[in-house]
Amino acid sequence: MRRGAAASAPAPIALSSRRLATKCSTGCSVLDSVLAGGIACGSITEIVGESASGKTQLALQLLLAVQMPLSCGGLRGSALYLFTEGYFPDRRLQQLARCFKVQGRFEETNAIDRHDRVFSSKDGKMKSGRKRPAEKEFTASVSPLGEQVRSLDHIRAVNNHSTVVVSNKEEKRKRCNAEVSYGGEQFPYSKQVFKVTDDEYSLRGREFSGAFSTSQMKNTNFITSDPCENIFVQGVQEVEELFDALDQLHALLVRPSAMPVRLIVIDSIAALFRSAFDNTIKDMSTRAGLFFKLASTLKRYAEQFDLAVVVTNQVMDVVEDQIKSVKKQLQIGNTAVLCSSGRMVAPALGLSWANCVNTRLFLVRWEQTVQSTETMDLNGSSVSNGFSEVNSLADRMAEEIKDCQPDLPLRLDEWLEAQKAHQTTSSLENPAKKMLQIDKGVVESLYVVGKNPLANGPLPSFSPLVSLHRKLQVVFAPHLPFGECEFVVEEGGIQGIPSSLE
Amino acid sequence: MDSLTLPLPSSLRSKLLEAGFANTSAFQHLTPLQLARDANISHQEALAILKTVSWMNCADQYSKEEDILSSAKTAWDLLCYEKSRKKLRTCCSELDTVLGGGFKPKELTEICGVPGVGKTQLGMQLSINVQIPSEFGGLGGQAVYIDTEGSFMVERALQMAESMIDYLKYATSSCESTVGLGMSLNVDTFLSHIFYYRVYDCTEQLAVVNSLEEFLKEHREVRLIVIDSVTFHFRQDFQDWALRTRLLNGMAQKLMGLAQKHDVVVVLVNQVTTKTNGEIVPALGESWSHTCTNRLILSWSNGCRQVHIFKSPSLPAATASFAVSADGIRDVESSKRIKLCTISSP
Repeated sequence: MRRGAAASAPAPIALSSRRLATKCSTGCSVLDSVLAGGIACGSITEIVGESASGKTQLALQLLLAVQMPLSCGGLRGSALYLFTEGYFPDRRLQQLARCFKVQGRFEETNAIDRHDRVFSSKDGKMKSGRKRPAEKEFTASVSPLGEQVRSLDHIRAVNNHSTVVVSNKEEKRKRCNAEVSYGGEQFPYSKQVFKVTDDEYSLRGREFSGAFSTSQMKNTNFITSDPCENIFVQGVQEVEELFDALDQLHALLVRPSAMPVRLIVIDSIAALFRSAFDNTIKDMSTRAGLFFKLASTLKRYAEQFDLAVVVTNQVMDVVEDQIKSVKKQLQIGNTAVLCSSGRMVAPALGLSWANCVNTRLFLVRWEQTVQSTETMDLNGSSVSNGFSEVNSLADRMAEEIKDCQPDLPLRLDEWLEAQKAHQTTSSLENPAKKMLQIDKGVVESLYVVGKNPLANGPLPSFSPLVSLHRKLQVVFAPHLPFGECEFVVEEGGIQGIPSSLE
Repeated sequence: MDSLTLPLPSSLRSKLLEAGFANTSAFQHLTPLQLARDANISHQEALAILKTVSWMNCADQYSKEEDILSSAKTAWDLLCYEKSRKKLRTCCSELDTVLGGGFKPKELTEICGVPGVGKTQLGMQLSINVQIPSEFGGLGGQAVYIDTEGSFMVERALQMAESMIDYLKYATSSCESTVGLGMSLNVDTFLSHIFYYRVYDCTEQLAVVNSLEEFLKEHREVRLIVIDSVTFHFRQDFQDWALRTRLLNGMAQKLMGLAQKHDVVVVLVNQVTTKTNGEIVPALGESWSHTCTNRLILSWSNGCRQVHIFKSPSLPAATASFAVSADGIRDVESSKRIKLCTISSP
C-alpha cells in the first residue's frame, strides 16, 4: 500500500501551491464558506453533536454532495456510508436525492450559487405546504428488518458485491433468499457470503462476467441515473467488523471506476466504542490503542486515495464539578465545554480520540425563548379576518423585529393553517432570519411557535415564543479559524444562514 | 594542514614526520595499507590517522565555530559559541523572549498540548520562519517536516508564507539597502524549501529518521526538523512497552546526533494523555520525558493560548501568551486580550 518503492530511501514530497487539499462541498455554500471550501480530503473530519442536532442529516447530504461535479464543489465520486446505530435512514436519503436532482445539482452546467436559489425565490414565498411535523420524517425511525432489506437494495450500487459482506446476521439470513435488482438485472443471492479477493471480482461459485457493466459506467448522463446508486452502505455492529470493512474497502478503492469512492462516512463512531469497553484502565488503554489504529488506517486511505473521511461522534454530559477541572486543563479548541440545549457537553470518547481527528466540528442546537412585545397583539380573531390586517401587522412586526429582535421566528401561513385545523404546532424549525426578507405587501411569515398556542382560539398577547436554533461551529482545524454559522434542516437538506441576515 | 597540528599521539606524529609527511595533503589520498607501509606503522594506526584527517577536513568546511569544537573545548569557548549562534524566532515577541531569543539549534525541543491548541500551527510557522534570509536576521535555511497525522495543510502554510513575505517586503521597503532582497521572495520558494514527509506507521517514521543523516549531508541548508507528531504511531496498541521505549529512545538519540552534527533545530510535537487520577500529562511516558532537551507545554488559559517552559537546562520556568491569527503565530494584542478572555457560548 506504500506509494513509492519500499526498497529505496524515503523521499520527501514536493510542496507547491498546486498541492492544496481538495475539498468536498457540503452542499450548502454558506457552510462551505465557514469550512473554507468544504470537507478537506486527506484528513479526518469529526462532526460532534448531541442527538437530533443534525449530524446524520449533514452526513447524508455529504453522500450526495460528493457526487456533484467538480465545478459545483463536489468530487464526482461515490461514497461509502458505514452506519453503526442499527438503522440506515434510507427514506430521508431518497428524499434528499430527489431534491438534489430536482435542483439539478448533478449537472455540470448548473454551477450557480445555491444560496440564491433558496432565498430569492420568484414569488417571494417560502416553500410552504408541508406540515412542520414533517420534521419527524427526518429523524428516521427504525424500520423493521424486512423493510430495511428491501430499501437497502435501492441504495446498492451495482458493483457493491465487494463490500456487502452483510454483517448483520439476521440480514444475511433474510437476504439469502431474496431477489435483488441491480440496475435492472436480477440476481438471486447465493447462500454463501460474498467476499471479493483482490484479483477477481466474483462471487464464490458464480461468475459475474458483466460485473463491470454498472449503471454508473453506462450512464454518463447523471441526470437520469439515481444518485443513490453511487452510495455504498454497510452496517457494522462491532469494532472488529469495522476493521474488516476497512480492509475490504481497499479492493473497492483500487477498482477503476467512472466514479471512484471519494468519501467515507462513519455514523457514528461513538456507538461502536461506548458500550464495548468497561471503565477500567486496561480497557481504556485498549480502546485508545484501537482509536489510533483506526485513525491510522483511515488517514492512510484518505491520503493515498485522496478521500474525505467524515466521522460523527456523540456527546456526553459534563457534570458541574467537572467543569472547573475540565476548563483548567482539558480545554480543547477555544471552548472548554460546549454548550448544547442549555447544558454543558463534551464530545464522547475522550482525549485520546480527540488526538486522532484532524478537524472537529460541533453541531449545536438550542431553544430560545423570546418574549412577545406589546405590538404583537396576535389576537386570533383579528388575524383570521383576512390578510389585509395581517399585512399591516407583518409590516409592523418587520419594523419591530429589525430593530430589536432579529431572531424571532415567524411564519403566518402555517400558523393560519394550524389554527384552522386547531392543531397545536409543536416546537418548530426556525426559518430563522428569513423573516427579514419580509417585503411590504408580501405575506411572508408570521411564524408563531409556541407551547400550546392555538388549541382553542386566540393567542394570549404575551405568550412566550420558543424557537429552535442550530449552529455549526469549528472547534479546531489546522486550516480554519474559529467560525460558526447557523443553519436549518429543510426538506432539501441543510441550509446555512448567512450572517448578513442576522 | 600541518601534520603537527593533528590530534594524534605524539609517537604517531613523529613517525609521520620521519616518513616525510609534513603536510596532510601529502598522505591523505593514500589508502591505509599504503600509508602503513610508507610510515612504518600498523594498519589500525594508519586507519585512525586517515579518519582523523578526513574529519578535520570536514570540520573545515563548516563554519568557523567548528574549529573550536573539533578539539577539546573550554566552557568559555562554548559560551562564546552559544552567544553567537542564531536562534529560530517565532513571530511572537513574548514567546521569543521567554525562550531566550528563540528555538536553539543543536537541541531537541518538545511541544506538548491538547488538540487544537496550536502545536501544528507552531510547527508550520517555524518551517516558514527558518527560511527568513540571514539579512533579515533569520537562519536562511530550509526545513524538514515529518507529518505523521496529516495535519499539515498546504493552504495554511501558503497563508503564513504570504504574510511573512508581506512583512519582509514591508520591512525592506523602509531600508534602502535591502529593498532588492524583498523582491526576490515568493511563496513557491518558501514552499519548495519545506521538505515534507508523510509517514503512515512507526516503521516508516523510524526509517525516515534514519534516512535523515544522508539527507542532511546532501542538503546542507536544512536548519530545522519538525516531527508532527512523534506520538501518533506509537500509541497504536504496542504489545511490548519495553520495545516501544527502546525505539523511541533510539530515535531520540539519532535526532540528537543530527542536531549536534548538522547544527539544526529539532522540534518534536507530542500529544497529551490523562493519567488515572485525571491529571493531564505529555504522552509517551516517563522515559520519554528525559530524552528531550527542552519541553514546552501549550495550554489554554482564560481564552488565551499559553506556552509554559516546563523543562529547560538554560531557561527559567516562564509562561508566554501567543495567538494564532490568519497570519500565523503572533503576539496577543493587548486590545484583543479582553476579547479572547471571554469564553464564547451560543
